[in-house]
Amino acid sequence: MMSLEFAIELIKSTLPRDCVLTDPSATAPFETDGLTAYRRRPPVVALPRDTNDVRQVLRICHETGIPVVTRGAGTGLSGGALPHEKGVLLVLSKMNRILSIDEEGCTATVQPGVTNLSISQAVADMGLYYAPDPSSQIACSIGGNVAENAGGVHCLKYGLTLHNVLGLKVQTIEGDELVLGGDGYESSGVELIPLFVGSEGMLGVVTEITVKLLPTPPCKEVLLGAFNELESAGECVAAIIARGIVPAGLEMMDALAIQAAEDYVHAGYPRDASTILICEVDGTAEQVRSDADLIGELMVAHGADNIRSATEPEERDRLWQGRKAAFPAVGRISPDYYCMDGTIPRRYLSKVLTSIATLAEKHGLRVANVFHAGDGNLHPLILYDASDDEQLDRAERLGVEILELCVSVGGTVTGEHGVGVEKLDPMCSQFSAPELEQFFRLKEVFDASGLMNPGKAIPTLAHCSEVKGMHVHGGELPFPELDRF
Amino acid sequence: MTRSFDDAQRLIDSVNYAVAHTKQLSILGQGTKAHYARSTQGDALQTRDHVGVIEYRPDELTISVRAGTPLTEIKNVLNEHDQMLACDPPEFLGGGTIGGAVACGLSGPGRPWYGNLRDAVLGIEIVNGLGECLRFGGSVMKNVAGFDVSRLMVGSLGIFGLILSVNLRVHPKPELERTIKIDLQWDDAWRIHGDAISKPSAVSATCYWSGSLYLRLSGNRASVDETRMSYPDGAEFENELWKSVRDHDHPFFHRREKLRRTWLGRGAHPELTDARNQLVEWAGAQVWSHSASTDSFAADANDASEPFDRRSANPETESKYVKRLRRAFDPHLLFNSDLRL
Repeated sequence: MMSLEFAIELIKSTLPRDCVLTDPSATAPFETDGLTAYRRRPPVVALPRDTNDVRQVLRICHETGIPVVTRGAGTGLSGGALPHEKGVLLVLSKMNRILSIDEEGCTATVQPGVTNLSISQAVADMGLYYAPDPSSQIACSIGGNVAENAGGVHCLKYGLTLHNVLGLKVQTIEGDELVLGGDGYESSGVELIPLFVGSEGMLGVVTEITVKLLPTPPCKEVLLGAFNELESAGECVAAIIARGIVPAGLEMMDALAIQAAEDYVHAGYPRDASTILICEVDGTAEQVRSDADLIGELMVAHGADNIRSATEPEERDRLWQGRKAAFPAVGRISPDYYCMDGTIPRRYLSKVLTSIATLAEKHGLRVANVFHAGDGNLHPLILYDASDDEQLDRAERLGVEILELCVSVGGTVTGEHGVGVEKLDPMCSQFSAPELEQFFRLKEVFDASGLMNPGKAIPTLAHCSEVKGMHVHGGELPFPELDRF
Repeated sequence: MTRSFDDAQRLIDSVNYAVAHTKQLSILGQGTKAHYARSTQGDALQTRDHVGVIEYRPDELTISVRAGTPLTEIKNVLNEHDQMLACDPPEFLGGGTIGGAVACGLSGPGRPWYGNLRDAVLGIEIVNGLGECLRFGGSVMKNVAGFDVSRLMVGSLGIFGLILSVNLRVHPKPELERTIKIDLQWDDAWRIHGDAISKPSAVSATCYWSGSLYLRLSGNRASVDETRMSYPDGAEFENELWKSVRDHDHPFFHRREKLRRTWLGRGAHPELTDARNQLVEWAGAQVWSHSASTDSFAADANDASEPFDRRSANPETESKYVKRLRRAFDPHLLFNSDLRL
């Protein structure tokens, strides 16, 4: 490895002055992403203007052996864009142009720094939109969405980022440009798009993305039902799916989340309910009418009272308001909160929530639960005070135990936020040593020198043996009372 | 009830034997897609006895099946709960296994509306070329832990490893399906194709052949009727058409030789030169033809055209990254070593 200083000089001599930041006051805003518990000051921030600039920076990193971490808008929640202390932070925010829109083919080709929401805004007049809508959609960039395979509240019906990407251009650290997919549905040869979507900047830098656009549904209806028992709400969700309805959105909140949201935005949610279910259906007027009627009946049959429904945009927004404000609302009742992202098969919901409550009590912390009920993605919010190191430590331990719980019922440690630096420990519970080694061999295919976002997303075997030393006692796995399969 | 037998240990042992004795393996299911891609190198590794539904959860929209399970059996099991494989993979010669369907990654006529098999795969269990049994993904819709190996396996023709089992997302069956036939010129059909992807409607498959456009309408009765009214010139036609197009039983596919497919960008407007020898699916995005040469209707540089028969693929076209990927899974090149991606 040549010196970092030498690499920085090379970057400075290649990119314009305003595209390279080294002054600590200028690099400070880049020391963390959406996971603010982790901070690291990058020695240099490169802001490429175009694909050629990206290629130049990658070439310099490759030749000098300096690591490179790619960053979009920095809204990620798992520390995937946490800078490397001896590497380049490659920030793609200047590459923020929509390159083309094909109204007839319903596709848009964009640079990675374009924000998620701006794609939908740009095509709204054509009656089209881009479906994945992570909660940070106003700020997060599409390049980051691709890196994390971002989701949102409409995944059950419309899929994740992967299901909505048709083509990618990727720059490898060896200097190749890979053109994957295109503007059609299939292409010749092996389909590499799934490997790059969700690869957390470990394999290459995505410089161009072609996304699929969908026709805006002519009708939508939102229903909200309040339940006294969590189990009934869970059974109601199963019944809706079993009756052949795939709702556009299906969200659940528990009592603590409902109360926090109600105190914050006064959306009119029933404060005494143990659980609320919010369900959105969309489509043609006839389809929406019949789906909404059936969902209303199923809510009643499962003991819901206080059922409200809305078809007009303002009314619908009002029903969604409390759910959408849930995170900041919880932020008001606690100095800090730590957002988890496990996914579980839905049928284990009440078992998992009961176990989370037990674990929270054990660690002396409160947890509010917000749940993408349709696709099983659970966001427990652990309330703690970061100014107290001991509380942060407890919150992190509780978080790891919650994710291990998700794995133990056949789920996953991350549904949509990514592994980053945050979930390296629980990854050791989800994958075996040969599986982790297979991941590293895959990384080597595109990044033999291990310079792309090193230390993220996939834990090393050494890391896992340390973790297992901490968590496994007497050969027993965590949660022996739960089924394993 | 479907037949159920766990033959995984024998399959893993066979791979380990091949590793130890530097033998090559050609993975074989029912052999129904032999005209598409079939390895002839090495000993046959037969998956047909590794069968059965491991777990089916209609209320979670998921099913987990062993690789040798026949597609027809899976479809029957799902049908009992009014569910289906959204991607509708072809059953050539009336058969095929789910492992073969995943390895080939072919999609039926509903591709633009229901997605492909890759979109439906949630998790996979494979044996790599080191004889290691590995699991990736899971049985939940949202899962971003680790690289997405399960979806990488779709369409990889078995060159990365042997598929043992697959977890799939399933879809509720629409309440109603109707087919209509409209006789019209290609340019007019093309305009209807555009509407089928850019406007909300009940259209769930298209096929243009020999001067007629066929549309499948799916959904509840009201939405199917609503879309039906938009095409007053359409005549009712048999729903069986879609199965025949999917499974290549349709008269167009009776000639097997020189069968080519071309993928076009959504919204492309190709000129059809020979309406009887070209069949257009996927709202214009996939064109089948009987032609040895590169197609005259490839509209721009993004369009890809290739013979349906993958056995003739040129080894030179495999990129260095695909070669390395292959080695990353299968360092001794045990699996289907004569097939190229």
